[in-house]
Amino acid sequence: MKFKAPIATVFAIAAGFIVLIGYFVETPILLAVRTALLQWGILLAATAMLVGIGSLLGAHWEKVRTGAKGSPYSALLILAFFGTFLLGIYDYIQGTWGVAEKSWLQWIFNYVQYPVQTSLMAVLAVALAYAAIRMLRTRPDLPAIIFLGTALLVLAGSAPLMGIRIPILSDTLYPWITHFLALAGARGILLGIALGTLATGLRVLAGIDRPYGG
Amino acid sequence: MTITSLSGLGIVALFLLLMLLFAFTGQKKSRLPLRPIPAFKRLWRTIGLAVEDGTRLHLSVGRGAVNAPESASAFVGLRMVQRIMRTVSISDRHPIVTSGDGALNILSRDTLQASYKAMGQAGQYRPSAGRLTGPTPFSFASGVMSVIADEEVSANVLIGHFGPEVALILEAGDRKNNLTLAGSDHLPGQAVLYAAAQEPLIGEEVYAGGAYLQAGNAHTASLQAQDVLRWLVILVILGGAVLHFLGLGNLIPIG
Repeated sequence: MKFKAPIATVFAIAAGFIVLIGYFVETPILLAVRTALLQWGILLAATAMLVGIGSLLGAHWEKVRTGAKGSPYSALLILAFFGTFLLGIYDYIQGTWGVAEKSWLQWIFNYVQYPVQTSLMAVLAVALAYAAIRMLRTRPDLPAIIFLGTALLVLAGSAPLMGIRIPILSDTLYPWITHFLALAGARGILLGIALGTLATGLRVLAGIDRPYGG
Repeated sequence: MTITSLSGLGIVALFLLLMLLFAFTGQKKSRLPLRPIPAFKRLWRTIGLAVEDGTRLHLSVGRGAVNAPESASAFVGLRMVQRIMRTVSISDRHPIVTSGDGALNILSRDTLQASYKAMGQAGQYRPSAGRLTGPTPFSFASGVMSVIADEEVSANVLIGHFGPEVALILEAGDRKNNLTLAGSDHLPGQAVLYAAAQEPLIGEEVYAGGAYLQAGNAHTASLQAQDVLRWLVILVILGGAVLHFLGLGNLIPIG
């Protein structure tokens, strides 16, 4: 047990360096090792999702068991999970025997998940509008005013009310903002993010940051 | 090996060299002060208040997959969890770490367990403190909303990959009068954070968390290397633009 963390670190650093070098130096051996490591990574990530779902159910079961605040919702989540799981198995058996008339999982997606997510998207629009108004109240500085003004201009330029295109806004100002200002700004931020990602990646590779094995 | 891959390798090697250089010089003499980022200053104050009040801190590392580039911001989030845990260990209510990816959930639980162990409080660790709240963007957001609403949270630190759905999380925090410090590597997510978070972290500020939370010499060194490389990139872009303007664009070997 004492050697657990150093061994994990050595494996992680070696795997990281092989994948990194494989991006730049294209030799058949490196490519084969890199591909194998990435495939293992994908498999492990999928397995980790199962563990994560177990943890999600565990946390909600704990809430139901202790009668904590919001426990009825937790019970509903557990019921919905097992209901969907059983329907998935039923679908699979029907599919294997070739007697599938309709997919219950698809039905759940179409009539439960999709409407719920669409409703949340609608709530998100309201939450964003409210956040924009609140920002003017809490942070009434020049960048906030420019941010909101630009958002309103782009909104009016891209989705004009009643289908009426506003002459200068829709034809000149909106394309100029989105193609030049926004694109240049986005590229600048993305460059910063790329450098930050590189810095974090190198720290993990060097074993300075160890998000694994403690 | 093409010129593009060679230049990529060169940038990685240069970054590594700069990091080593700043790490060694930083140990010998006093460092240049870091640019003040108000969000981090306020974070320390809020952590202190949460410990005094006996309320809970909620940390979220987002929903980025660990086998994708967005894992970098999540790793910064995990490092911040580790650092913050050292400060809040004396609190009555232990922090909750949420995530929207299975592997991130395992890593966050591992980080929490290791932090408790390092502080000699291994018995305090509860696996339920590291939670996967949902595997899709909206299920993740609604799960986090219920954590904020039900778990007596007083402050939220969101560092990782968050899309526009983060507005719902911020709204939940605002309803509970929580302070929310948030940073994302996702561009639309950043725009939302700018409008809705009390303390947004924009662009590469997300990756500076380690250095600002004094996570170690290497973090400050990597931040300084990042700054030097950013100026180099700016100079290269400006140089390229000038060459194109002068009609000498074909002198640039990459493209």
